[in-house]
Amino acid sequence: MQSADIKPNLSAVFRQVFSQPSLDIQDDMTAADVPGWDSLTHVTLVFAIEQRFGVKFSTREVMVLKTVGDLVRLIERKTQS
Amino acid sequence: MLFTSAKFFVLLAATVLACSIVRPARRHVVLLAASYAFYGVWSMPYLLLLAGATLVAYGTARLIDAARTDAERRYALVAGVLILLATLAAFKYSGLLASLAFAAGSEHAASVFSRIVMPLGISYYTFKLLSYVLDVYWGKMEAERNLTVFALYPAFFPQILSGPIQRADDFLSQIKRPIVNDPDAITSGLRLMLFGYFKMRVVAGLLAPIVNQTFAEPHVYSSWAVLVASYAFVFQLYADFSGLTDIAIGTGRILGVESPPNFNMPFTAPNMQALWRRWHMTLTRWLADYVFLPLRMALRSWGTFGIAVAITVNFIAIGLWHAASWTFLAFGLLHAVYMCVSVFTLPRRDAFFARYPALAIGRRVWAPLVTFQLWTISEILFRADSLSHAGTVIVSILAFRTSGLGAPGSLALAVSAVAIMEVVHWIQAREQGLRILHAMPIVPRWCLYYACLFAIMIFDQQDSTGFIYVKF
Repeated sequence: MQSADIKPNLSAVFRQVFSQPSLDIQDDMTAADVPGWDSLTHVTLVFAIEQRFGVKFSTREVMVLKTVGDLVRLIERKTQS
Repeated sequence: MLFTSAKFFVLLAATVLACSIVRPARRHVVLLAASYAFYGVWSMPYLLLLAGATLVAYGTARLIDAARTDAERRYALVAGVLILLATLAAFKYSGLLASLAFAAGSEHAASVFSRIVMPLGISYYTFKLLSYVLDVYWGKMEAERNLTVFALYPAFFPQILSGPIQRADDFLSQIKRPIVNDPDAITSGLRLMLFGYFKMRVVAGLLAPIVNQTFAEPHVYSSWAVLVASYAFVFQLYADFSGLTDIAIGTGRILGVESPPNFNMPFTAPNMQALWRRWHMTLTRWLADYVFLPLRMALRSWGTFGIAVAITVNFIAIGLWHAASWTFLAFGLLHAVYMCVSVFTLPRRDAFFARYPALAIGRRVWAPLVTFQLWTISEILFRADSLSHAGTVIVSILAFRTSGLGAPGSLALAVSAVAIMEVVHWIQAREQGLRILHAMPIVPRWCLYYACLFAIMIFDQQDSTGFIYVKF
């Protein structure tokens, strides 16, 4: 899957998890930019992404994520492998 | 050496002077020498323990970096983490280990464990070292090659007694940066230290007799007096710990290191999640990153039950981080219950109040009050010597006893000191407030400093405040 295909699906997951219908994701977005994105919702988000894209992340992969852009690249890598 | 001793001020002045003389690239050597002197004055054998733990973390990270396979990296990580955790457990939980050894019939081991004195700051520096090793393993940062630079990270004397638990990447990047002598940073650091001493010696000091006398014999006081003492302990702990933190951050700032904040007006938090994000923030974040998140990841397919398990383990860890006792276990479990109820009901509560905006206005007032009450109940467990002692305190409050002694100590003075502390916190939390303080003319500004100093000299209750968080 390419970045352009990932982003609309990823946006949908973000909107659902954070209950914000108008939320638009950006590459440089961090947890600080999204109200409600804390350590509790972080893993809920990760699990929802895994379900949506049919991939599995390791703890180590999740721990190094800093921005939404990192997340997009990780999904890209996972869906290609 | 404590922050209130004359030796500390001599060491700080000598360190500032030495830092300004040496080449900027050698500043870390001066800071390391000062930090080891600070610790070594208290105990040379435990300084060796600190140096040993530092070498373990340094070596582990280098091994992880040099490993060629994931298995090698994992072995190095497990070995390093186990050594650090075992050392922490042996020294911090020696009392528990002595009881276990005695119960198992090994009197010799019991006697060895019972003679161990807990090294100052071991919880803080071990947590720093663990996070460093894990960050290198997860690829968040590279292993530090310069041992002198790295050794300063766990030993940095402003932070070693009671935190903040700063992350390695943040600390090391500041140490490697060329130092800029910034007079504003020094002024701001001194100001923060002064406020820290005020909180510890005046606010916590005035509250301590109220708490100590009432908690010693709760049954002889009226219910109102015991309730007042429970509130007093919440503010005593807050003033003591946030005061220590202010001194640590202020001292660090003077030496060119900016530390992360540890408190942010916790008692204005509208729910327990928010309160924990504002109280002992660096420990909460540490546990969130290295205990809660990995556990939650491992249990992510368990749904709500997985969240409840991860929360419970996290809060038991917070409780037992303080000490291995039934009261701290109960403190952790109670907060796990608070947190689970709060987390699972918050979306519904938010939806309810969104439908009734008139009620939402009232919620802004009562939500922090209810959260504070729940926090106060848990702090009784924190303060009590045993579960039965905590039970006696709670029963004394719920007995609605009008007879008995009133609140001891200078209650009006203590309340005034708490009010001053909270007003300053309120100003500190607002950029505009800080600008007004900085722009204040020199005469009223120095009047404030002197008022603070005189308050410390007049009301200093040296014997009744025990630097509560240093013992953890």
